[in-house]
Amino acid sequence: MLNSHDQQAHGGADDYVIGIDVGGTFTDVVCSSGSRVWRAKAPTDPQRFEAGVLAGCDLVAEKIGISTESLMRKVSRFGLGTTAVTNVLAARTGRKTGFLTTAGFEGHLLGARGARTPNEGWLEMPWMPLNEDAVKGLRERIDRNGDVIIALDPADVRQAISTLVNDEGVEAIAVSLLWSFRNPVHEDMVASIAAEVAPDVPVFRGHSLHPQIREYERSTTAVLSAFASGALDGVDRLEAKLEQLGLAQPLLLLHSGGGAISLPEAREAPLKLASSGPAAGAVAAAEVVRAAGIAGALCCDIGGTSVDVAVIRNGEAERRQRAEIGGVVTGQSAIDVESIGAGGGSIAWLDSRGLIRIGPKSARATPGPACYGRGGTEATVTDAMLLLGFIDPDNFLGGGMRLDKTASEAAYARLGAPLGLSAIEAALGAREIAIAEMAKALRSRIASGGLDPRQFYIVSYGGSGGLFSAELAAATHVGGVIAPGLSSVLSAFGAASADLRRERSASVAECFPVEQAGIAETLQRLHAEVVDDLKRDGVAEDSISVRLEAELRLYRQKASLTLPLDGATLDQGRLLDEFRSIYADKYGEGALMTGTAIELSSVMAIGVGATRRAQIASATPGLGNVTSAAPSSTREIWLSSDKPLQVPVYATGDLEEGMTFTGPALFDAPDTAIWAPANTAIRVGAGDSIIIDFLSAGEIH
Amino acid sequence: MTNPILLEVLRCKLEAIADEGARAVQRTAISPVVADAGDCSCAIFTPNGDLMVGGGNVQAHFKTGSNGIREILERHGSTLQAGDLFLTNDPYNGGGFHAQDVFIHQPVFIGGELVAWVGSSAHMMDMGGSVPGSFAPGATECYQEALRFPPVRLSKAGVEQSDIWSILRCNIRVASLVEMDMRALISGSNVIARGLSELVEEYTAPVFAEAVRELIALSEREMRRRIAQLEPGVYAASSWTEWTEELFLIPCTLTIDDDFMTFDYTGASPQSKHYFNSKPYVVKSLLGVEIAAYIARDLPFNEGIFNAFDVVAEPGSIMDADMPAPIGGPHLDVGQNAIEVGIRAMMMAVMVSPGSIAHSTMAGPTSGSGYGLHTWSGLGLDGKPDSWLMLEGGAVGSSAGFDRDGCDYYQSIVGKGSQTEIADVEILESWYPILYERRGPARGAAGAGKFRSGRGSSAAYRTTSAAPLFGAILGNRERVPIAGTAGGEPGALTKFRVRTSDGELSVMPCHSQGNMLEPGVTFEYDICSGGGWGDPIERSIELVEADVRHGQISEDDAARVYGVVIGDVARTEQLRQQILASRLERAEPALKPLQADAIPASAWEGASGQLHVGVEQRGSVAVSERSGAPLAISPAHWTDGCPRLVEPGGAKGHYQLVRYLDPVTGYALAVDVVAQGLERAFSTQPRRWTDAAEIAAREEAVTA
Repeated sequence: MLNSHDQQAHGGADDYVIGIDVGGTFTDVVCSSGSRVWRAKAPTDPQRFEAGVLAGCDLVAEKIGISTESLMRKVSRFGLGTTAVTNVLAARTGRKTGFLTTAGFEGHLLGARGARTPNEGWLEMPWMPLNEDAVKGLRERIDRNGDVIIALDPADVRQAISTLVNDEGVEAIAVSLLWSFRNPVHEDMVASIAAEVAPDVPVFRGHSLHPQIREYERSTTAVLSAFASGALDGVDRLEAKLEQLGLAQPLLLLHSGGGAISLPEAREAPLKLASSGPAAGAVAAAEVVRAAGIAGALCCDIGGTSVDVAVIRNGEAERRQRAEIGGVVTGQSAIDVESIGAGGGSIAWLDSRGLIRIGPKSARATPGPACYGRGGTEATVTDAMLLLGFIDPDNFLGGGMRLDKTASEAAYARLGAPLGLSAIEAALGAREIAIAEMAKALRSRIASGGLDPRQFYIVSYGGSGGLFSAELAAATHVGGVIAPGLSSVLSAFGAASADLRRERSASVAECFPVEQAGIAETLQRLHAEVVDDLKRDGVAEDSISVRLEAELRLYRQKASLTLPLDGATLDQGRLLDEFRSIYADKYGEGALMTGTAIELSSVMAIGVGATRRAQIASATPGLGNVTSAAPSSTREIWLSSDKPLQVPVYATGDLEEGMTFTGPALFDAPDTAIWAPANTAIRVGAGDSIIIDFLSAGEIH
Repeated sequence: MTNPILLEVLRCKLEAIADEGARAVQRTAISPVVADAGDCSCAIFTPNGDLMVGGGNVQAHFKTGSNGIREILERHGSTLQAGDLFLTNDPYNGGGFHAQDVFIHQPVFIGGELVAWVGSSAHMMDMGGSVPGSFAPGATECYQEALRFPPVRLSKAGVEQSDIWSILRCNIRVASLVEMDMRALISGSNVIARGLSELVEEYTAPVFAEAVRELIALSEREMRRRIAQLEPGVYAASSWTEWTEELFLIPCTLTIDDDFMTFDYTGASPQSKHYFNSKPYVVKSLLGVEIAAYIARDLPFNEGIFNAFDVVAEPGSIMDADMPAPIGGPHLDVGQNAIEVGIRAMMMAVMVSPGSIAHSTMAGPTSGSGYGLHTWSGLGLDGKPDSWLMLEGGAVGSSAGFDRDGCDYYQSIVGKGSQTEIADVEILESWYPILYERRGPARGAAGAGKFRSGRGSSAAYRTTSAAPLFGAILGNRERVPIAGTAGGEPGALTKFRVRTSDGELSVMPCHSQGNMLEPGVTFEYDICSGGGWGDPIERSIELVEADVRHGQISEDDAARVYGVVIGDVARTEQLRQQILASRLERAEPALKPLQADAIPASAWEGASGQLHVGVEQRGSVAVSERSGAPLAISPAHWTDGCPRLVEPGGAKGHYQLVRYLDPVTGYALAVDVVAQGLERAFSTQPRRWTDAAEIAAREEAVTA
């Protein structure tokens, strides 16, 4: 576990780092100090999420043996991952939002560029928290050069805002005008008039949230931000309460991009918190991968209904510039987490052709799989895994819940009967199809990223991750599997370990050779802005480091490559060579024809503020020949319908770094299990990670 | 039967492989149409060209690959080798939709045995011919349209045939761009061939072949079962493709016989001198996607879908043209009209079959026959020649559904939602020398109904270049609109106009090339829509008021079309009654008026069921559900007893609008759009209805 810490990152013996993840059911707390770590779980109160956080802190303080107050006084970092914004978006309970845009283009947001969502056969408009009555056009126009060709009339603005606030009753306003990222003068004017006319109504401007080309993303970002702007009330209450308890450090909120931001910044750009939960998991997984010394990984968080997949390359979780939030494409950059395929609760059913299918319907937590005994009767993937012996019915969730194996058996007997399959045969089939569905999703992710899977490991977490990862790795030609030792509190650990991070970007869209001076000026401006941002977040100037990046792409191509820059002055020749070489690497020499124009699409400054953060110690060098642990028991696992295999089961509590095993083997953790099939070598790595390697590729069963 | 688990696992793996190929194409292509809008597809076929699985956005392309593979087998079947790569793009010789849709076909061999084909395709920015982009509405022979390849080897046994690349590069514009995109297709094809080889080796070739056969057979069996849920009988619909004043008839007679559907286009106009001549394989590919959206959206989309229906057309007709007729858009105007009437006919069968799986998504037909694609060329922003296709002209409004308004910017209200994206105004303005004045949904009251149609795209933009732009328009539905359904009004028309700085408007014809856009003038378009569903008089007052508030219709439209007086329920009720009464006053008498007391009591006995929305069959009598008024006795068509309100349509009376009214209440049961002297453009003759008279007669004889 978090048994030692990097001294530089977290040195003082008497200070504490706290990371918290507020989930739907439980609030997880991780607290570390020097070489020690404490964990706690408290129930989440959906109405008052600060209650769960405070209860978790009390529990941790109790475990440490000090009062909550003295713990708080000694906290050098308090990181929080919260689903507050996610919940507002999911439950669609945000502020009533008004939208101001360039007259003549009022329909661009609701038209959604023609994107439509299938639902029960029909095509429907993607969700947008906006009533057409609350959309008003402003007569104004700025052109592609940023020149004002129709000036904005302040009287029109006053009129429109007054209609929105007084007649439509909007509680927040989004303004997004054409080409505002080139010239924000009109959007800024709207904001200052609104501050006068309706000082209580917050205004969100497209250009300040997402200063990039494409009006649709700027508009969705502004509207969803306005809609979600009330979600932080609970965080405000929490901060006040923690201050009372003596917390001297500002609250750090984990954002979708995998960094942390201050509360004031979150208030300005609430959408940044939209998918902080999955991002936290990926940040922590990146830390695990770093500690294990592996270059790249596919994070697979296999939960009840889906697999959440993120990619880690060069020690960092990959981000995407235009994240989809609530089914809407936005300009928000975020760790690229895709929810795909099937999960533990996915239902196995017979389709009208008479074949078994898995998902997309899920039994979720209620009624849940048949074995939960909560009224669910349909056969789920979890039921299959229980029936086949992978899950211990007496030890599910650390023994917190007894599973009913006979219910699973009945469900699978019913499913298999029309096909002439026994319950075991049907369950074996369901497992195999579930793996094929998950693998399909994973392959699609590998293909769109142009990744070479052999260079990657799967980092598995989530309730069901460890049971499927080895087979998934084999099916997708991924090198091996890492199951982190702290998988049950991974997101909380992410909140404790994320860097304070601010980004600023600017659209360029010029073909090489680009005008040197202009780009240098832009980069210097972005650099100065992120430094200011971080200073405002309370980071000392000497703790700030800034990285500059450029996005390059073939002229008008969609996919782009992000390249690091040495400084504000571009070495254009080097950049182009690097682009061509990476491109040819990814797509083959034949894909790139000489003479094609290359475009600098945007530049970006990423500022990182070094703060106290939790880390996993790197692998201990020279460790080996640690005596292997004895199995705690054996279990019957069905891998074919003839007879079960006797498989040794190891308790993760008995494992030590450096131990090695060979598959088949099962590793039981309090809240999950890890399956290593035959023909695999297993070793225990840093932070009690379980690492599975294939002895010969593709030969596992 | 093969192990059912294996079948499902194999399906997942095949889908994964096809998807990998499509993603590789999209990532490596560079033209915005492919890279950004995703106009590409990758499909896998059996050794004889049956569709196994497809990947990528353009589902309608999947099946067209069969056409190429069958052509290759015929021409090169005896000389196929591993490492061969075929290029084909000629609709007359194994191509896809049109010359720009280039196909790369690759045979996959395992141990010397042909186990599968990979077909990847995408829309190329240019394939030569008389105009940039190869959309040449002025062409009168296929030779003028584009450079066409029958299946030829781009690579032979792994050796690139540079001669073919040389011919290609020499004959097309933006050759480098096209070559990059074609190489993207090759990358995708290779990705699939690699994945497929591993898969076949894993399962062994015989097991793989048998499993694929069964997957296809399972889709077919289920597809047939669902067709059998439809009332057997004959359902027909007609519509027209336009070329300025000239109209081309596209009739479809759908026969549902047990578990099989035949879409027969016999009677279509002879082939024309225009690009929109079509081919049956094109129509079958398109129709398969639309049919599947209604009755097979959950089934694996493979050859089994296509085995359950057929498309019949007369050689030499506009539905099955011969060389040298132009063939630049067999999937556009005529092809889309063919889908529209096919789906309208199928919907009439669905209306009378409450047990059909499609009954929950009843809607008007597809509206792709009103596409308004247009191209421009001239000096780009960098002062160099540039040319491009305005895809947003494809954003038609859909027909309405039976319980909801239509979908904006979409040709259908059902389906998977994978239509190509409309580009942002800022993207277009940053790429091309144009400046938009407005863009949004087309306004107006067309497509009215209890549920109104979706709205097509509408915009105005001007050129910012000092030099003029020249362009072509491939539009349709400029004169004759798409009819509504179940009493709904016809949809909006497609219009292209030019407005000078003095505000003077002039029309640019829907089919034209060499159009000039001078600096300072504004180009405007409105793209058409499908029709409404149900009588507009039945639309909820709330929805009408919202349409007025949002600027969709005027208060005058609300009163005239919907009988709604804004903010006044009482006067609305009054006005609606007036409109209904006035319809009956103005209507021509029914063709064969039917008096209830003239119907023998025995005629009411026998089978009953739906005949049309709002019309019921009771024994041998068709009855208006709303009023109970009898309309016709079997086997006459139910419309025979409806008073007809006939109005000339369009400024020059290009068509007639015929409203078939409930004789008692005046509500419209159907609003027909007819041209060229045709009496009625739809007919619904389920066997249950046409046989009713005979059965009744037989029973009467027995009783007597």
